[in-house]
Amino acid sequence: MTEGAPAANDARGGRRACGAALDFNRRAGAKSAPQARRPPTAGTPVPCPLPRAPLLLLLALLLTACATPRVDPVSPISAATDAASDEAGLIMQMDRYESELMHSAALVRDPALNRYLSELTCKLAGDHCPQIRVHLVRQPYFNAQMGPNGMLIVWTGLLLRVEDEAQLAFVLGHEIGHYVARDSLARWQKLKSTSNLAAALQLLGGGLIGAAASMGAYSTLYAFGREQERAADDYGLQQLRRLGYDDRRAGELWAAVWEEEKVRDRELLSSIFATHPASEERRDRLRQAAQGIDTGTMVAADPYFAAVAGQRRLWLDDEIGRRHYRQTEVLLKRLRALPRAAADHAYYTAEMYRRRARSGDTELAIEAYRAAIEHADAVPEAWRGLGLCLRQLGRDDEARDALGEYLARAPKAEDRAIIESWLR
Amino acid sequence: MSRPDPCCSPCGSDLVSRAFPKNKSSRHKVAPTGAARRCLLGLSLALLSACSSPLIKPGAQTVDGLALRTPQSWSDLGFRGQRLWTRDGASLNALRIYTDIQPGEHVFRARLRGEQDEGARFRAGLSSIEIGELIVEGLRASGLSNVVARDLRPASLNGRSGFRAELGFDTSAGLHYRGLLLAEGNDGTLSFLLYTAPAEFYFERDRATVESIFDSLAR
Repeated sequence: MTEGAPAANDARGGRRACGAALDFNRRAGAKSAPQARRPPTAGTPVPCPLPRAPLLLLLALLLTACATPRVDPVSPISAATDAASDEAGLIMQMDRYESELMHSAALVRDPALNRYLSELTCKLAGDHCPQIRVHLVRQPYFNAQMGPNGMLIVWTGLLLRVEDEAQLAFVLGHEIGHYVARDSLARWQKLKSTSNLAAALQLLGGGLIGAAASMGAYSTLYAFGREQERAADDYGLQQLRRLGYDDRRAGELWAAVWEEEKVRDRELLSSIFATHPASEERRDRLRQAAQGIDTGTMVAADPYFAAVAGQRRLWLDDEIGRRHYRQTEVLLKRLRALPRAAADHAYYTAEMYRRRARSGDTELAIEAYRAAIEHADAVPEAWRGLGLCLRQLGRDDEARDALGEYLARAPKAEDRAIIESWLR
Repeated sequence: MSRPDPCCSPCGSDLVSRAFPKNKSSRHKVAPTGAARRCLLGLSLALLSACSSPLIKPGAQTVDGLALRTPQSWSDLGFRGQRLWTRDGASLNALRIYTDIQPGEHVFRARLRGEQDEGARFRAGLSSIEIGELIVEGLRASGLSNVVARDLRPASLNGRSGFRAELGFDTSAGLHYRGLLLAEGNDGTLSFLLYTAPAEFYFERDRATVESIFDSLAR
């Protein structure tokens, strides 16, 4: 069993294997690598310094290998793909991948939400609409990926972090930008032309789209270069403006996501950014791009929240369950400032503190549970959590009251028998 | 689960290499003597026997300190503190028996990456409900979807008060599983039995057997 998701950084085979020399340099410089600290032992061959001219030539060759192959943008009315082409094989594998996804337990099968996502994507895709299919996958990470066959995968962790339709439209537009530019084909050709063929084959042998464990292999195809990401950002912003959305929301989403990325423990494998690394540079660029342009003002937070309302508690639950509390704490602090779902955001903040259980967390949890139960739409589990915390602190009378209230509000609670045994 | 499979340890490899020198290019190949051949044969049999999974026979058993009774036989694919009993293979039926998980250890003894790793660690003083949450989170973290615990109720395990629950989850391939859980963490360490099987056919087939094992621990 693996804990959490493999890191995108770890899995970005392309970045790692763009050149063995770069890889070697990074390893040698890495303080965490034991071999970097170990002095050469007797008998260990010491590499001779390379002469400068051959070294430059070698670097030039490696850089050539790293260059992304150029491909033409996809046509809105795509012609039948030549069966012998690279793209035909890749699309065939992606089609197989997509058909496996249709059976995955991680696929979110909420008809209204899927319809909402498809309609929004269609508006953004314009003439490309018939070629694109959106699939929502239950994964508590910030990610969306566009396959070369028109398969657009959105993870629920992304929808949890999005605050309105304008932000979602930017992300979808960005992915459509990758599709139109055929970035994954270029990436595939690059993988095949360098020493990363094994990674590419692993990807195609993969499957298991919903599993966090497969993220590593899958994300290899989507580890686009900075220029490709910038171009996709520009495409997303263009679509945002075309539909009258406020394009400043894109930079705000990236700023929020960057705040989470900053507190990520680099030693741990898990990241919420599966294939799209957050960075200050990207946030600033998006913010800058939105300045001085006559853009729309539509944000559309209400329709967005109406569409995701039925699923959002599950996603918050998944977010707590991934047990990366430093990031979750930043996320929930932001969500609690939103003028909606206040009871849920307070409740899940309390759950996070209760489960983290560091010094002082139980008190913070009690405070947040109490904030949650002030709202009429608080879930019954808020009283349960409050009772569990009070019980931990030995405040048994208060705990009994809270747990009794929980049972009264949740007559079919799955843990009723245990709590009743405590109350007796 | 990061522990090495005890079946495949390279025990005795040194003896094997001595019996058959690796230097194939030697012009004077050394044929094993009769004594060496017998020794090698005996050793191979011993190794083969070590690599077979022990059969748990029906009746009373003491498993890592837990005194239980099983009405049917099982193959044990696990090791001390982390047993994996199965009849038809772990994906079709698996009774996992974890004992003496210490505070700070991962609930499934998965590898944790340092102090900062906030994986599903056991803590002393957790209530039954919190232990149930931890096991659910450990299962989720292994890539399973829609993991739920139902019908939690008090039960005892080896004389200590704990709880039972039913579990449900889906694999990434979309196969639905059900499970039974008996756990206790009252003495500052965590022990639990977790039975999992596909909901279709296998779960119900062995349910009564597993419940009778759980019942045998309710002393």
